[in-house]
Amino acid sequence: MSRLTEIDKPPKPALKSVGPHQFRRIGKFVLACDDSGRFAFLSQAEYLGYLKGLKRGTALRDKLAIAGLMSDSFDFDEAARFAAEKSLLSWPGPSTHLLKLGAAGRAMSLATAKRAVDFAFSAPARDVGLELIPERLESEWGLVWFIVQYARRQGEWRKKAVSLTVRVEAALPARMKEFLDGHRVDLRAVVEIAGPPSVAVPGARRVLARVNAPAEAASGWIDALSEAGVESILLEPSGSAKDFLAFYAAALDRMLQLQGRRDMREERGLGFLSGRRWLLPGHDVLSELCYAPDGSIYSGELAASLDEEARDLLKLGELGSRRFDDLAKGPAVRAVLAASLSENQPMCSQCVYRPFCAVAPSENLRSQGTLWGRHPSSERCALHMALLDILFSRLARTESAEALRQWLS
Amino acid sequence: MIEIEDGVASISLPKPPYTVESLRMGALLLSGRAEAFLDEKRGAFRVELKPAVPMTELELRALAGEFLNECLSCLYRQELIKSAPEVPQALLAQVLEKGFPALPPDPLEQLEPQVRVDRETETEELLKAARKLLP
Repeated sequence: MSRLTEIDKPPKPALKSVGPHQFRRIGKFVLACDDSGRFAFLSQAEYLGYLKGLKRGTALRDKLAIAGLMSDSFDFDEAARFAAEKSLLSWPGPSTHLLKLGAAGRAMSLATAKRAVDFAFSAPARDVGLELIPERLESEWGLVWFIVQYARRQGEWRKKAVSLTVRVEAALPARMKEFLDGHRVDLRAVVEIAGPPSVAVPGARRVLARVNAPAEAASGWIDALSEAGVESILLEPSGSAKDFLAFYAAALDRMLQLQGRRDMREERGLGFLSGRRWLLPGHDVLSELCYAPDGSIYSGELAASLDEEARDLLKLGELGSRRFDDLAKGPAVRAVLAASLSENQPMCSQCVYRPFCAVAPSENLRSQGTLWGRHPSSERCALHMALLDILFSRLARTESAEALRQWLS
Repeated sequence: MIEIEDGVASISLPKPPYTVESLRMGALLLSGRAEAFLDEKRGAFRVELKPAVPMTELELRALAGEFLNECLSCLYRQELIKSAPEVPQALLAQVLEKGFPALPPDPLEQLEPQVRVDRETETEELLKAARKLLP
């Protein structure tokens, strides 16, 4: 059974006025969206009227013309500008570089760490984001100490804005915290949301949360984390998808209630709403590259953690021998970027959320054994669609739409 | 369509719609789990899937189903690519054609070799200090 929705007895569209679009029923609304992500919410009666053809001068027609959904009053310049902003033409290259400082007890060498920083700084993006993922922070502290200072100096030398993050699972010793604070390094806490709310890593502004809790726990967790200063959270399922979605909806509602007092954004939702696929967390090559302790470059963090055969498929080269400008010549990068084009994907090509969503090829490879994935049976596609339903149902409500739009400002 | 005999799944597939390319994608999916043998007779393909480890009939049927899903998915994707809007594909082609241009070397380092030397010295000192912090 398809996850796409239908309209009962739709009339034959008046092609003179109805612009190319996809639609989806969300609750009592119909969401209509064009190819580049301009959208409008309509009631079912309004949507049927739109398909039949709207008379000039009506408020609904004006609203849909602004959204680019009327073909007989189409603003081509505006459409081209909007599409260019969201297309690969505006892609600045991967902006997050993940350094796995240790894996299976083997730590990255200092020489490899230096090469990884040099590689990240050779990317053309104006902003460089480095996220350090220690396996055992105490024994890898020298690496963190070096990378932080070297990256800061590189930022000054190359006049780039640098954001540094260290992923942590527990509170840091005072000397480490002091050093990281002094060098403007953010902490990203890995949190298991399962029991009662708690803040395991004081001072973390970002959280990667693995959720296995009911919806009733969401408000308490969001309150506790926002009071502790968390500004950005990435929610990932760790239990059942149904429970996760209920938790996500409740957590999102609480974040939107708190907006303006204690702002917190959910990173995947923010990525979806931006309409820029390179802002989707964890999307291979488009948003991130990952460097393994042995100096291998992978298309992303998930790719680096797959089994050997799958990992090899998404290995882009070795630090030291691979230059940044050689990346696009490799078959892995070409395959990943081609597989990220959802216009060519079964189901995505008919999905109203296509301009906002993409499943990372490494996720397809992990769950379905193929970079392209089979989206009609993909759990990740189903999850994304449900998350987008939650986000767009909030966008349809005046009171939460403004708070969500502020996420993008 | 799927026959199971002696621990091997045999599948007959008409051509069209099935193509060698779609069967290759299906076989790739089973990499490491099964061997795929292909025979071609008038108007049809015959595929035999031999699992790497013995499987029950149910498991083998599921494996063959997975193979067929991937074949169909590939066929449908090819159809979509032919009819998809051309602009996103053209943009991707342009991005790949251009490659990922790296940042050019720092002009200051090129004009003033001493800047480069100073930076290398500073980096070397950082590395030396960091080595002391490692176990």
